Amino acid sequence: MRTIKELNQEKVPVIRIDETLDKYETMILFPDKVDKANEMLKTAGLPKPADKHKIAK
Amino acid sequence: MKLVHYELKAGKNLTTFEFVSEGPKGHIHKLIQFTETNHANLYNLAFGDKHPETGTIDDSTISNNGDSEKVLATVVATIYAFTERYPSAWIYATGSSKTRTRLYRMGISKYLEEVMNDFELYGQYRNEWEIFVRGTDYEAFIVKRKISNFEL
Repeated sequence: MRTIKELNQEKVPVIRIDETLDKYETMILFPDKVDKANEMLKTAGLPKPADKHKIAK
Repeated sequence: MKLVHYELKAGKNLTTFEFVSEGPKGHIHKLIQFTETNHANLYNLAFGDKHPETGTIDDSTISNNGDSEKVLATVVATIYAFTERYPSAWIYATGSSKTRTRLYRMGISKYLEEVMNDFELYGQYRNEWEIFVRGTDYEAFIVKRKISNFEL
């Protein structure tokens, strides 16, 4: 049997479900970050297929 | 990318994760949250310290617990877990300061080939998205899992 340490070296980690964290599901813990994201995404939107070929100069 | 990370706990929807950073400053509880934004299927990724007594969250604290690489690896692990549950989600992330954003950029750059193997990764530069390349001073990042290339 593999140890937790070994399992934790996989890409998809072992997660222990902790019901005490469910209380955060309806809370925004980092409201400033979300506001900032919404503001930045308002102008930039999501990447488009053509953006795959863009490289900064 | 198989980096050593901290053990993780999560709520049942896998949108909030908790782990404990261990280092010279002691045990620091950290919370990671994927929050829906105004864009459908786009989530903001943020993390910060959880005050052990009050439970309040602070994403501006600089812990200096000597484990920043392991902390970032743990955050990356949650991205794998989150996109395992929500494979079509886009994830947006930026630092709480320019310095911290630069730290994230350096972390991504270090493992760029592996990241690009599993995710579509873009950097935001002058309000436009472009495919992430090393050496550009991005303001934010966005990732989406590449389903076809994803291997355990």
